[in-house]
Amino acid sequence: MLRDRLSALFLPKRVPSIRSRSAGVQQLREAYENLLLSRDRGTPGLAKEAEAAWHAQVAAFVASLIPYEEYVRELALLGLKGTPFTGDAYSEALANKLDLRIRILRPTNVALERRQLGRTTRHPDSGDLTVEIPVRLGRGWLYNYTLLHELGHVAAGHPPLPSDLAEETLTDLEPPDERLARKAPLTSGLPKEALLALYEAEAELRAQHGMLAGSLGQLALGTERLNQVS
Amino acid sequence: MSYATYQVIIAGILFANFLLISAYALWRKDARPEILRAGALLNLLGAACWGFAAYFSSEDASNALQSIVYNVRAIPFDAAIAYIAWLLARSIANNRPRAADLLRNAWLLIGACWLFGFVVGLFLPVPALEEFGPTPPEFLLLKVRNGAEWVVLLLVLVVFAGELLKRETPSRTVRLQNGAMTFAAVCFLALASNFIYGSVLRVLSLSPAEKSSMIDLHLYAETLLLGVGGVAYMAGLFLYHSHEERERLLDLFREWIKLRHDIETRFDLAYSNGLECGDATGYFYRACTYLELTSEQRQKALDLVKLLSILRTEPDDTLLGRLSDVHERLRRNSGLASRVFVQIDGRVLYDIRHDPLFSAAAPAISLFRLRTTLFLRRSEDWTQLAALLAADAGFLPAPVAHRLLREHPPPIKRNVLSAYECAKTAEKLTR
Repeated sequence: MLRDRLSALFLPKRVPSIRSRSAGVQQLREAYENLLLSRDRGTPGLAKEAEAAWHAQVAAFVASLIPYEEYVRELALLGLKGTPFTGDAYSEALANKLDLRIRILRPTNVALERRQLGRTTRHPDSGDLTVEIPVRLGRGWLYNYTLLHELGHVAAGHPPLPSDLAEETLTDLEPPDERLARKAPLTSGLPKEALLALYEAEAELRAQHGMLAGSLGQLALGTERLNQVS
Repeated sequence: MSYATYQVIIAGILFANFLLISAYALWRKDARPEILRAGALLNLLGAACWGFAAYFSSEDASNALQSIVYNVRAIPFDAAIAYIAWLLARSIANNRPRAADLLRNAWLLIGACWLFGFVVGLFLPVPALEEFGPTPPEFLLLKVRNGAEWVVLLLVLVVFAGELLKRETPSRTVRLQNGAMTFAAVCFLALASNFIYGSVLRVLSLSPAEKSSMIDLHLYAETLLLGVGGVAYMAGLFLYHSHEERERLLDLFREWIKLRHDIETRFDLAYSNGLECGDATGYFYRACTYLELTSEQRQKALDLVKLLSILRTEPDDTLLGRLSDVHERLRRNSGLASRVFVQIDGRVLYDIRHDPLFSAAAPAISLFRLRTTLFLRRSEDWTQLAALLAADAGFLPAPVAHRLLREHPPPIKRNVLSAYECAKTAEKLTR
């Protein structure tokens, strides 16, 4: 225990570095395989360590996919760079830019996965998107965050999720043509669960970027200074 | 060099500044557009005023024209002082509202004094442009604006010095910036005093030898103070451009977002259908009405109860402690805190300090760790009402609830207690 504490004090935390996309995918695959292996062995300590390593790898990969500067570049395409905005404004701008129809529904009850606060589905024929956010979230901070998270999937061009994940695989689904991100999302090279975790992490990071840019407006721009006299 | 040529050179320098700043603003569109725009405009105004002065000033200009030109030439300086005061007012608006109000309205004082000098110059013209030539005492009336500038600069100095002497300065960069700005403010105040001294010197009838030495001293002080003050001010602005500080604050805000998301998600999990305290929901709203709480105070009380209920199920208050700490650090930086756009329940707030959740975080921690009821005795009605409700609903640890409800004299104010009891009774009767 003392050794752990000392190493935590003196050794810098290892942050995975992503040299290239293919190298990043390779690192992700290794970390995920380690995670599965440690789970199979049933050793709680090892599993915990492998899980932390996996999360660190996902965070590093996602940060390389959409750094804040890249998100700001996307905001410029939407005409939202340097202005405060809400999730609704982002939705409208995204729909206009991608020539999509995005409906935001506020159902009383919506069947969601554990820890999930919203859901986005795509109409198989028209391609229209429906974002469902339970009405209990009100119209406050969490609603904005959740909406930006769901729209993050759309902006990144993540393939629409199948209704039954157990039966279908992501390889059956093509990512949509319309997206805001420069690069197409990863749809192969990793198991389905790993890809889903990656999509969620990317949408989460996009929501955080969105809350930062939307709350601070011009203050959040690269060259804007945040200091005493502003 | 003739006086007109000197003024043309000044006008040329100011115009070149305007062109340079405009080019920079066009090249780097995101780089502090507001300050750049203001800087460009002030330089353009300066170039126009000094150009006007150069065009109209000549050896044989009438006294009336000399007074007008003299006053017009002062416009860019007065505008710059008013703009600095306005900037400062905006940054201290929430920490020092009274000083901020005075600084925000500094332009009125400066403008009124300038106008007074201008009108006096029309009716009692003096040979103002003849530098250090014999001038009648009416000249001092033209220079009333120097007094206004002195007062405003003194206020600026007091604000910067106050910020410098504050113990809880956020970082070394900000401390250095405040130091540079305070030093610059001292120089500018001394410069304003030197202007007044120069004006008095012009009016006094002294022997040429005496006058010459005093004028030398005046000019030497003016050059020195302008140079040193300008360098200090530029150093302050340069420090203001600290990347480290900006990144630190953006990281802090990002942490605020993550922590807030954690808390809000817990709220959602715990309160999928609103405030679930059984009957308490009804009489809570009724008690709020009796106490005439505003919707903002009501929301704060509700958030406090929710936070306490989360603490009951997750007794580890580290998350809330971190959140409160981050919020406090953000709050201290008024430049950031007063310009945050937050949407809460359909309403848009432009100041993080008005966010009900964060007003509730600190009392929640205090209530949860309640070691003394002193904090509660001094607190507002909404905090006391939330504490009562939480104690009643069983959200507080038993010893805390016991102290809250049984201590003598009671830590809860009488009006809050009676409103709460009345609401409870009324709710029972209506059922």
